[in-house]
Amino acid sequence: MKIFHSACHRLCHRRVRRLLAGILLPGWILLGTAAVADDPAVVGLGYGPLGYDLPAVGSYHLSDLGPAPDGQVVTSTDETTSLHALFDGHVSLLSFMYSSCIDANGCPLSAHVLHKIKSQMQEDAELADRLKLFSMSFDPDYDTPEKMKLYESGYQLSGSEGDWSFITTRSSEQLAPILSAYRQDIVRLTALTPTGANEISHLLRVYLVDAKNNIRNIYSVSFLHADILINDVRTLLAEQSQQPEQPVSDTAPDSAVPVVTVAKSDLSRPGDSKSGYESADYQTDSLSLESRVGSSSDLLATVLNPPLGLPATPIPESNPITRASISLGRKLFYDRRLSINDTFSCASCHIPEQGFTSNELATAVGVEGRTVRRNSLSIYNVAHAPRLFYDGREDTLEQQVWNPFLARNEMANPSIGYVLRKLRSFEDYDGLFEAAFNGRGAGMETVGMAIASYERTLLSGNSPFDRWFFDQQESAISEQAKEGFRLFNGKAACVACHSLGQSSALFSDYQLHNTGLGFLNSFGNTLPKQRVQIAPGLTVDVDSSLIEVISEKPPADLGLYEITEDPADRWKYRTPSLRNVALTAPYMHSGQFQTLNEVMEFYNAGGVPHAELDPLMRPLDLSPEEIAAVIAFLVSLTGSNTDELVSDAFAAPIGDPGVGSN
Amino acid sequence: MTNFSTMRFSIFVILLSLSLGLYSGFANANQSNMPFLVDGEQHGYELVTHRGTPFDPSVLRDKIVLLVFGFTTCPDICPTELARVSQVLSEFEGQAVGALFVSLDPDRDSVENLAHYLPYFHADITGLTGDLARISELASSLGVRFSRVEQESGYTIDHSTGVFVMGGDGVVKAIAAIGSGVDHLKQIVDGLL
Repeated sequence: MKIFHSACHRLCHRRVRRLLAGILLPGWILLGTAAVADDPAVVGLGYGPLGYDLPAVGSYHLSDLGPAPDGQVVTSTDETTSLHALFDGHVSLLSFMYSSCIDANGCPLSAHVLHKIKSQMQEDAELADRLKLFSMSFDPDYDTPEKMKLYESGYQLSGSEGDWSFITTRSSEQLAPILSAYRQDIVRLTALTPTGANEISHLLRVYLVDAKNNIRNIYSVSFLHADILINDVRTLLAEQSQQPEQPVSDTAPDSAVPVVTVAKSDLSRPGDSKSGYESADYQTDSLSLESRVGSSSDLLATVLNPPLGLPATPIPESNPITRASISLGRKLFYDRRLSINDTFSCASCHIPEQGFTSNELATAVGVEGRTVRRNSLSIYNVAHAPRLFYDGREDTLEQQVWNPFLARNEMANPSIGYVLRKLRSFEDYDGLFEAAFNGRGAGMETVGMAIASYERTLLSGNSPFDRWFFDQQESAISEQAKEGFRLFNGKAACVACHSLGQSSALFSDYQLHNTGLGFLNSFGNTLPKQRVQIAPGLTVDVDSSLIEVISEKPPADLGLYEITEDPADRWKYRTPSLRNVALTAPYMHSGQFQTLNEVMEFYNAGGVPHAELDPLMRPLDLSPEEIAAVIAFLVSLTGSNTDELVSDAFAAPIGDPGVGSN
Repeated sequence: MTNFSTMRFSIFVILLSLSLGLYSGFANANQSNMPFLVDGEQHGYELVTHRGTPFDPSVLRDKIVLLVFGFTTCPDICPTELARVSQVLSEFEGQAVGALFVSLDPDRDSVENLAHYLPYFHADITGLTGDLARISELASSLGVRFSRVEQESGYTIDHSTGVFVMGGDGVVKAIAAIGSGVDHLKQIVDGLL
């Protein structure tokens, strides 16, 4: 069992098991085990309804994650054969299990999900014919072919359509190479008593293998849901039926490593640009405030007719979007009076000319220099994000806006009432809420609704990539960028999380994943000396212990775990969209990479290996030329209307203190 | 489903031949995974029921029997599995389906405790307790592992899960894995009836 580290083994074990009772028998009242009712432990996604819509079958591509390893196994009828012989040109789902596993989010979860799929096979002849299910034991001592037969028989009685085979091996020696090939590290927990129950610590993984024996997806507990698996299986089946021709590059990339330059307009850059500050010949490059003036745009039109490459804009029924609500939201967004000391607006961290994020800070800084743990997320195209913040803790923009208003280290307002009283006291807001919301004044809901309406207009698309991919303009992007896109979908496997559809693309699955960066930052990321730049071209190496004395202690950051308290969720962060990625440096939840090249190097190395690392992370073996190509593709994702949105932002009032107060 | 009875019959034949095959294989190995509860050498196990009577396996002849291992102070898995079994018993009320709950904690699970505990789930579940050695024998014959785990106050039992489904001949036909729900177990029983 165990998806957890050994330190919490016993504790988590009890907790998760208790939970199992609740999941498997809803409505059942447990006798004398009151502890169950208030246990907030998190259960596998696969036990409940999915809760979100999946992309249409065939509208996305599952990248090739490499060949599915072969190995010698034993069937439940005691025949020795090989995994590939069993796959036999079918799409296959391969799950590892052992029969005495009791962790609710382990083997029972995969049994639950595969049983649901087997039930679907009863009604769907294509699935029954072309898909095979496999459960393979990693406990050959106990899981004999006879025992596997009993499980198999049970599922056969459950419905005769479709194959679900339970397979095992002759010995641990025969099993070991298969486990290591599938990177299933198991730890046999030492028996606690002479008659010890033989528990096995392992990470739950289910592998999707295509008809050519290539791994096309790997599901961990967060993604193991029958609907997701069936959607992916059908997508593979559709792909096989169509046999699409693979785009082939007709020209080989140049042998010299091409340099990717990021062209930015004069508007989309920090007012006091520090680019080139690292070299001694840096010249101050500031734009005067007078030159940073803009003019308003028709933001509603963008929402109704989104730029090429974006799907229809989702507008909640409870918050219809109008010119009045957009205009009010825009005023609130840039109003620095809405903070404890009249200095700080939403735009202080989501800076329009800096990609609606902050290019100059790795992690955000709130009022009075108060440290924020994470990098400001760009809010370009935030209308499409089904979950917000790096840890995904909010699900609507209307709710989200109150977090920074009230965070002590952001805008630091002491209460909701404090913000509302302020707003009601400003003459320049007189009648605006009432006009936008059918007579409703400034309230917690209407403030959220107005700001959300403005944020939904920050749509950016029609990038060179969009014009090439969705509008077939061959010359819209370079051959290098096209090669980069092929790598993105293939060898680099970026698309596994930064997903895209056939008629639109957001370049994010909006799920939470563990790349190992959070793990690295939690453990052993301190170098003995750190380089500090004190003037253009001048750096000194400072002993880390000296910096620690004067620095605020870096706050701990455990990602999704802080929301779910499930140890398996440690260091998981939400996938950001890649649109306008060239404008939104620095990168990652920690903002610790300043360039796309650093980001690519990190992924090329396979992230930071540890037990909870997302199974999709692995060394990519990309050459410098290939990395440059991927970056050329990423740079082609900059939308055509960014200057227009920045210019519109420059035209917004910023809430001068003392102005408009009653 | 016009071919239903034919299909059911063929499943029965397949399972019968399968189980006989497995049984003979195991008998040769002298390490039976397939307890022959009704006939043969292994009947009885010298256990006692929660009604205080010696266990007579022959009452299970020609019944589909759902067999669960557990202990009455188990906080999670055992009540879950017993509840699943109870729902199946209710579904097949009046048909030849029975259920056994074998205690893995005979020190604490006295006849009285079992008699107090089991009726909460279903009147037709027969509880079995008795000598630990006899229980271990039965458990290990089915590949069920269990161990006593000491805790700050008292102890608990870690054990294998799943519902063992025996046919009318006392041979285990299938294991319904935990996680796969009530429907799965109902379908197995339906297939065997």
